[in-house]
Amino acid sequence: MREILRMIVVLAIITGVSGLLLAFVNQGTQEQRKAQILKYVKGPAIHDVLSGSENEPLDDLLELKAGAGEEILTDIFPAYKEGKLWAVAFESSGKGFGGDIGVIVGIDVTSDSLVGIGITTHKETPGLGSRVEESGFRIGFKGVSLGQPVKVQADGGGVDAVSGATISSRGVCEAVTQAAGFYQQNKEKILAGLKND
Amino acid sequence: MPGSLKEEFVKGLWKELPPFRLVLGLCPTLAVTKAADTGLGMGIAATFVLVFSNLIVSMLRNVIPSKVRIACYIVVIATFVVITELVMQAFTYPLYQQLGIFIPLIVVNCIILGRAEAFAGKNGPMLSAADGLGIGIGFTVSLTFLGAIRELFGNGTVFKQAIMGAGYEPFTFMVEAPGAFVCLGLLLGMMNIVEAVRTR
Repeated sequence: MREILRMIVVLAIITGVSGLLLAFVNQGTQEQRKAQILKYVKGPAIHDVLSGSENEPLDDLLELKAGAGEEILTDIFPAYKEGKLWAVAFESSGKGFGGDIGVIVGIDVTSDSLVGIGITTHKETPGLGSRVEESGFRIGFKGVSLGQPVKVQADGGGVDAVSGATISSRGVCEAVTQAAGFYQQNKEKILAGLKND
Repeated sequence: MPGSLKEEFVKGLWKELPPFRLVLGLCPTLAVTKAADTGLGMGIAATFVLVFSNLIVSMLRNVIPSKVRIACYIVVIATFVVITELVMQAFTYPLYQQLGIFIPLIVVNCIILGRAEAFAGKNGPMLSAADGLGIGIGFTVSLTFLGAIRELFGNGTVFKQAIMGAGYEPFTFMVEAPGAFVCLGLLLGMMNIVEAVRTR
């Protein structure tokens, strides 16, 4: 009995201290990790979507507080052309086959249409669902007006899905639809926030 | 019987060199040695985990009940691996992306659990740390060396610097899985020959 008690106590203490230590390191590295993910994961997708901008979108980012109680924090990345605001990009996500698919959605603020999309993270099947990353699929979103529903052709929409990866393609469409909704709801806030920067 | 601090450190550099003489940790060795820089990165990460897990296990060796020792060792090792992972995400993100799943797999690297069980569980902290450091450095040098060879013949570069001339036809076999096995085997064989000659 005493032996079992000792085993339990020692294991509990070791795991407890480990947990505390990890929580501490997690907190300590949070800022740095966020910056690195921005630079290496989101950055390439943002630059691809907003190519042609005169500024560096990552430097001009706006942290937007949206939602009823101003709780949702979204990073908005603006792009300027000829000194005026041309487009904004931000990250959205949709349910794919293996999990959430992270999608950077770029929206032209002058025409309220899509500038393009970029994929940041996903857990889709390599060679099938992962092909949503390819430009051949993503180009189908370029120029699409936000008024139109963004769906795959199988669901009655105009997006050409990746063959054999309908669920992954649907996930991307879901992400774009969500992004469009968010943009339309918060357009004034976004434009006002960027004007003040 | 454990020797002096210097002896325990030096043995990791030749006599008990992983993965060539102490044939442990082959899986990550084969996987991360496509290039010299990933080999070096993995070696440093594994060394950090090995030294600190050896140290902690050794300090707790009289406290941990024998029946749950493996569970305790794994918790300690896993904690340091996660710390390594978080630090890599924070400061060396491209390396983290390249090493991918092999960073969390350091937890089940036989070298680390093996040293905890075979040495740190029975010897003092300073000796255990020296053991860990020696074997860790040996592992790092082995990984970097193997990585450099495979990268040189398979890509014409070492540490991403072009060494072979522009007209070099890459021997891509070297950076694929079969090439890893062949390279590892040849190096292991050569080291066995050297050791046999040395002790004749």
